[in-house]
Amino acid sequence: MVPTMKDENRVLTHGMDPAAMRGKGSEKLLISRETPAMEIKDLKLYYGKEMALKGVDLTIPKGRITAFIGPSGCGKSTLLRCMNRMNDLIDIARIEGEVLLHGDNIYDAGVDVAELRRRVGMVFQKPNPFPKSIYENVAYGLRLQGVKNRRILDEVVEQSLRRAALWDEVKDRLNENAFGLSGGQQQRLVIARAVAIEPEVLLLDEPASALDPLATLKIEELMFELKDEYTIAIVTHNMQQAARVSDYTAFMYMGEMVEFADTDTLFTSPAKKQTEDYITGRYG
Amino acid sequence: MSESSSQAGTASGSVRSLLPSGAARARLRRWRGAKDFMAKVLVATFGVAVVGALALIFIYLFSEVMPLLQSADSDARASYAAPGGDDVGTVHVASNRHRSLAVRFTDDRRAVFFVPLTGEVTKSVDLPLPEDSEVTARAQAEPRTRISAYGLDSGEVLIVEQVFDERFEGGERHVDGDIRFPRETEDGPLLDIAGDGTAVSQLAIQRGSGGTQLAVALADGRLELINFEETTSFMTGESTVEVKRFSLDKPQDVTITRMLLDITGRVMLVGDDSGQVHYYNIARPENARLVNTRHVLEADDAEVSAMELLLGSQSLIVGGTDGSVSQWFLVRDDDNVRRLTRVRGFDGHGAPIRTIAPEYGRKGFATADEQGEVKLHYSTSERTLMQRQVADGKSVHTLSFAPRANALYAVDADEQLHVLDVRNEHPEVSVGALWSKVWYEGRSESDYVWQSSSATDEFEPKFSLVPLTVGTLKAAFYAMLFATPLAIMGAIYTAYFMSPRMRTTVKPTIEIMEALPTVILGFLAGLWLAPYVEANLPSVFSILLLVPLSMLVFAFLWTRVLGSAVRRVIPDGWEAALLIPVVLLVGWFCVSMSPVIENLFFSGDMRQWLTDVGITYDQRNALVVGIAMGFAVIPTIYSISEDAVFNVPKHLTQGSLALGATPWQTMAKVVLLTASPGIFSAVMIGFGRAVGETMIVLMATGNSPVVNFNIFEGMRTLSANIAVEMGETAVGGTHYRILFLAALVLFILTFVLNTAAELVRQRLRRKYSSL
Repeated sequence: MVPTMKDENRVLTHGMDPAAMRGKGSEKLLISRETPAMEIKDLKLYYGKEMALKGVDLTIPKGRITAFIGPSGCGKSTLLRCMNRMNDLIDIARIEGEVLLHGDNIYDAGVDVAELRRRVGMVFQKPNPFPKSIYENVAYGLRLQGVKNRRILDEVVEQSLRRAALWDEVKDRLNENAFGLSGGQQQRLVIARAVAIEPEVLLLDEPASALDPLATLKIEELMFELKDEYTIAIVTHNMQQAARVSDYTAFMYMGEMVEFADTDTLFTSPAKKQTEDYITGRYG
Repeated sequence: MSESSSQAGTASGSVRSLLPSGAARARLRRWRGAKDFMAKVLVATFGVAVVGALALIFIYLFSEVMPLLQSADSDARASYAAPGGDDVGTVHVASNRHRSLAVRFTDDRRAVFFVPLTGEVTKSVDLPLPEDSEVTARAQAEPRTRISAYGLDSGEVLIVEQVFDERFEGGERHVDGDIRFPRETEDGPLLDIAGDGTAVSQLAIQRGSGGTQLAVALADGRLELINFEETTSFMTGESTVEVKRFSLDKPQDVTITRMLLDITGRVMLVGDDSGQVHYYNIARPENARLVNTRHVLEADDAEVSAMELLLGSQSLIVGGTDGSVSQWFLVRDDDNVRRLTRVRGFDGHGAPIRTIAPEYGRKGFATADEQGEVKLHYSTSERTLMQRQVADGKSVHTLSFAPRANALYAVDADEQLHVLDVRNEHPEVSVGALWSKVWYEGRSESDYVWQSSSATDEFEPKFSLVPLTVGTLKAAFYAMLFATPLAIMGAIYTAYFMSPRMRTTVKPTIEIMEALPTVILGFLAGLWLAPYVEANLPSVFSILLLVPLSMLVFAFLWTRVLGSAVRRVIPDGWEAALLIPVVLLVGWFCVSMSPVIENLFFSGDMRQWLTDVGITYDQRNALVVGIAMGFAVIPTIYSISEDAVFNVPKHLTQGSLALGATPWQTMAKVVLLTASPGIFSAVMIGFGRAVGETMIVLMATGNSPVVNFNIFEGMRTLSANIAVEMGETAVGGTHYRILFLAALVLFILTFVLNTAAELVRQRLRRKYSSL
């Protein structure tokens, strides 16, 4: 899956090995020392009568990358979607429990869902650019916030595209339709679009699963770039990816949080047998 | 095949294969191949058949329209020395309908009957004119009356009617020609007009519904008008003729060259040698007077050399020695005085016009000049259809049509009779006559008129397609004005905001409206809605204004004023149901307030008020059609655009929502954009349906072919016009073919619209389609 470092054709945007960037081994991460960005408290979610999340407790540390792993249907995407209330769009979904964003419950009655979603951005599995130009895709969120000044828009578009490591590839064709981009470019465009409105938390729902290895690598590099400014939560099926990019990892199974720890601990010495079975490939 | 069977063999060696044997699978493969092939052939056949059917419709329509486009042409059929001797002059030639028998009046007082194709003389009748007299003037009534008159140097006049008696013997048609004298007195057929032996210099005769009229100019300057007024007794059926005689003042200082009387007995036209025509009003002959005089020729020194009235005797065709040909008729001016007005000119001749021959049953005519050139013209379409040298440069002095206008008889200076076959089926049609303003007989200005038939034979058919095309677009426009906002907004709400359960009932309900027969919609619109709207006009407009307003007010109250506790009673996506009582209540309120509004603002009757401020109001009008046809097109537009909005991929809407957009922002900026190709084609399909819709417009428009976009007036559409008039046309006639042309126009209109719409849709789709 992972291309070798010796590959001559490989283009690295950042000229660094992701493994080196993560600073693995330099210091031991401890969840108790982290500032929480989001806290999930006894979250239960029902699809009709079926219980999809069975009381999840979790803290998403600020400025870190938290990965969610687990077999298909274990509820990790559902949990992610609870964090910016995307599950509201599903009629039959019903929620109990609390999700705190910087201490405030996002499910409180007075919460403006649109503003919440601005603060907690989300990128989906499948690249979903709008049928507009590249420029307008990135400017979309800003226009929603009422930004009309062309100069500000130009600046933010460039900044966001640079942050998404896409600027050099698209700067000459900003007014072309976004569908002209490749799948990997589209996904980075979508990330640029999400970054443009300065969210506090970025939720990535299997952002690389529809992409080829090279594009996947670029997305992973991008996550390193972004984690200084944003808190990132990523759902992935790819355990190497989780091991490569994340600081913390949560293993979910059948709607329950089985184990949550810093990535090194979880992958090297998991506390639960279920976790060990999963990461060693015995099931899932 | 061998490969697969060997595989099957190895497989069966280790594990027992449950697959059918290799031979069976090969059979199946062949069978599947055959099915694939048959499906391919069938699909291709039906595809080609659909295209072929469309092409056939087009070809059929075009084949019916094609004859309209054919220009007139003629063949020289026969040419021989005039029957009865070429040493005597020809006065007049006429034939029967089947061109089996013709008559030539000679200036040696004979009527010679002959077979037109061969010139074989069948009969010769001597006219009862005195031997010693000389014919000094002759005149002809409308050709279809077959009446002509002779003026003699003795001051006497003879009125002659030629008759073709047809009878069938042994399945064969025999025609006998004969001469009658319709105005015979006790003294014989000759009428002594002068009384003192003064020669008759000019003569005019006409026969109309009131009787026969004769105008005689005598050599001593007297101008006499004689009316033979016929009255038929109701009791006995006996008709009596009363002869009245009046003297008129001759125009000053000119020599009369030609005189004409119209069939209504109100107009006498006198042409003179200075190129003028004088119009006498003889409606009350005792006060007959010269109303006005017009110079009618292009050249100043030319004489009026030929002058004829067309069928119905409203149009005057004037030919001069300068070769010009023009059409004139009496038009009321601003002072309500009828004045002779030039309407249009025709292709002139290079030599002086000698004679003009009007057609028997249409508004066409032929002109002949001194150099033997004959031209065929048609007044309404302003066309010169054909020109032909018939007499090798010799002057043609007598020219007449066969009754069906399918032959021309021309006699030249050497008394050679030339028979021409004329094929001129549809002279009424030209691009100008169909699509531009035409000055029709009896109207004060040119206009777009559709009026294809009337009670009289003299009627000038008015075939302007402009009122019909405008009517079609008008009906479609108002229908779309009503339907498009409702259907699209409804579609957006249903697809995007409504709860899925409510959607499952609402969408099929609206779609089933499409199954409603349009004849029922038309019936309701014409018989119930039209009178209702007329009686409650203010309510229609207040509903249009207040219902959307009240919906907004209610929505504001619901979302902003009422607490969330009340709001939670209604689940998300069911709020629309709350509007039902609001709409009903406001509707009821508007209807009940209607009389009050009328009393307050429109002095009791809005319809009367509209009329007073100068707006025409028809009971069956565009408003009614807009509503009724709007109902017919709403399901189409709604259904297609609902699908388009609903099929916008969820990942796009979620992407937008995840960026902090409200549902409304997402709808306006992403969903509508992505669904725009579908919504656009929905609107165009709806428009196509509105353009082609027949029953509703037939029943609810009043079918008045007007050219305006007044919402309070009706219209006549192309489709309704075809439905109304197809039953009353003669197959193969001009009217029949023009209806096919209307169908072709409709077909092309929808074809062009749909093609343009498809092109735009493709562009939109390329631009905005999602992944």
